[in-house]
Amino acid sequence: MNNIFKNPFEIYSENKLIIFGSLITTLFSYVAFLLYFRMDGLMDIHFADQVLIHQPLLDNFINILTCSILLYALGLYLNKKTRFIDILATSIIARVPLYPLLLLNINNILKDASKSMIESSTPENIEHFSPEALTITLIFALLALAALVWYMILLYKGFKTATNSKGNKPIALFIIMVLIIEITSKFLIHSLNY
Amino acid sequence: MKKLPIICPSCDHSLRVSELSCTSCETKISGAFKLPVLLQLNTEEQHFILQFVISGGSLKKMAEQLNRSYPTVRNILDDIIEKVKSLNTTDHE
Repeated sequence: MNNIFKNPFEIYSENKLIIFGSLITTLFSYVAFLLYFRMDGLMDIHFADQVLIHQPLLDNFINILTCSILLYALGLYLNKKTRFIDILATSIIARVPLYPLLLLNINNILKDASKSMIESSTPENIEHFSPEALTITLIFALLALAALVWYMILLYKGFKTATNSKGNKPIALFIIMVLIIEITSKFLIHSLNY
Repeated sequence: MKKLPIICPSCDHSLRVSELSCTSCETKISGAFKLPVLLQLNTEEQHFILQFVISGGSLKKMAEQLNRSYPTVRNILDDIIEKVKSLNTTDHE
């Protein structure tokens, strides 16, 4: 049971992972549309004033595809036997921990809290400071951090399983590649401007 | 059945066969015989190879039988291949 959360890539076939992950991704892309979120980068979740129905889905598609292609290139460099389908399954499933964060903005709770925080951040508006808004923002920040850590752990475990990589060199290359993917996906999403 | 020890419990070096005996006439042969490469693998690895042969060399079938994903099973096989290669090289030296 523990392995399902820690390393599902050791247990489940790539087909099961891709089907499950795609369904969850599609569902939460719709949730992102309903709750005004954009996921414009590998590790990004942002509010937006206006979100079109196709935008979160395309965001996720670009993030997953960029991640799959670039990690696959690294995988091939480390191990010629690496299969694209395993890296794709990894890229889809690893994002799952990020999605529940979207639910924290039901009824615009989070958006209102962060707006209130920004508004009260100037010295002249300090008397409007709301401890409730601070608590909500802090809870979200902590949960977001935990989700991000879990996301990265899953991404690395999946990559490790797909490439059978060992030692410190693959870890260093993986970290560098994640940063490259973050920059690339963000650049693609902003330059395509759909 | 007792597990065949392949590593010395005292100094961690690999063990050699020093005596063989016939179960029928009880003839005993003494010497210093190297263990075959496959017997130098641990029990799990030997079991894996056996399963691999039984499943007709299909990693997909093995993954289903072991309730493991394909890359996990392939990684175990790749690790065993590396170990066998290194044991083979050591044996020929």
